Amino acid sequence: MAKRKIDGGFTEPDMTPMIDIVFQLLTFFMIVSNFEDTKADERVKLPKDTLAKPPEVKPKEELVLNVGFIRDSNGAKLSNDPVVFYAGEDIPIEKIKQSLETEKRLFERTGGKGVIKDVSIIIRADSEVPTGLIQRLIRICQEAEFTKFSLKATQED
Amino acid sequence: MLRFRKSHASGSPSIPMSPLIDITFLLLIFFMLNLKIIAPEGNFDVTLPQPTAPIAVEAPPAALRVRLQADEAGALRAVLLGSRDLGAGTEAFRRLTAELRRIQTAAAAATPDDWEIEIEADYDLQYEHLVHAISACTAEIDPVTRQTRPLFQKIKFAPPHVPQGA
Repeated sequence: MAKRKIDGGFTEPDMTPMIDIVFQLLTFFMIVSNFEDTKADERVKLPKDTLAKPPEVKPKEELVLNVGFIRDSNGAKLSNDPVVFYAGEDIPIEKIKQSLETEKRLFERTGGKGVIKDVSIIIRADSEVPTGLIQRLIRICQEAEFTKFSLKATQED
Repeated sequence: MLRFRKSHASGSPSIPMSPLIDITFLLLIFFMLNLKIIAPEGNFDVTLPQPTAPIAVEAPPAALRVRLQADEAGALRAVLLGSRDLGAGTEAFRRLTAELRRIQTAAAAATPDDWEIEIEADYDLQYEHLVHAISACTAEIDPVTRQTRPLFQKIKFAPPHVPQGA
């Protein structure tokens, strides 16, 4: 290693290569890290599909509904009844209507009447949830006047 | 003011590096700890307005009704396009895409843009099969260019078959 001689007679290691590498790493982690709040719930195991593409245009307003099963730490299902993970609570699908009405009022207060037409409901549902229940959830959302839906899936390699 | 140290006998000054390295390491550790690796997620967008009273909407041709049958456990038993059985598994969805492509090419002159695909799924069918079906109906990956080619964009769901006793 290159050493520089200092007045006192002791040597100091050359810092330049280390700083180079550290800056490289710093830049890498800065670019890779993602501060976006995705409102994703990690208990939901999304279905996989090759055609799942990240959206090109992000919807102006969105409401994320995570539908999944209550699982233990190993990922085994504790109950066979899917729930909506909403605001820290586990709400059965049939009882989500009230929360949707609250969300609708919030959207209307900030965006005015009619904004509900532009709100995308993003459904992040577990791959094992019965389809009928997802359709029921969509129907409940439709009754609350939401019309745009997005079904999430993870990209398969 | 920067303090310069006389480091060389020649007298050229050097900037103290320690504070810079301290801060850089701090930032590095911060960003490293913040890193969360998540698989990229994709969307399938569907517009589903609230069904109003059945205004004389043109019924889709029977060929564009996709039926997904489930067995007791919720696994996929069969995919039907109209009355044609396309089998089960990933092959069935590939056949479904091929069939739809054929229909679209055949009807290219007759503006198939307004055609809707109606997906009718059994209540207990696992959700992942529904996503695969939507994926198979909306686009396909060109085997040569690896580009996505759109198929039918309008999707609607038939009311679910509510199981007996529910």
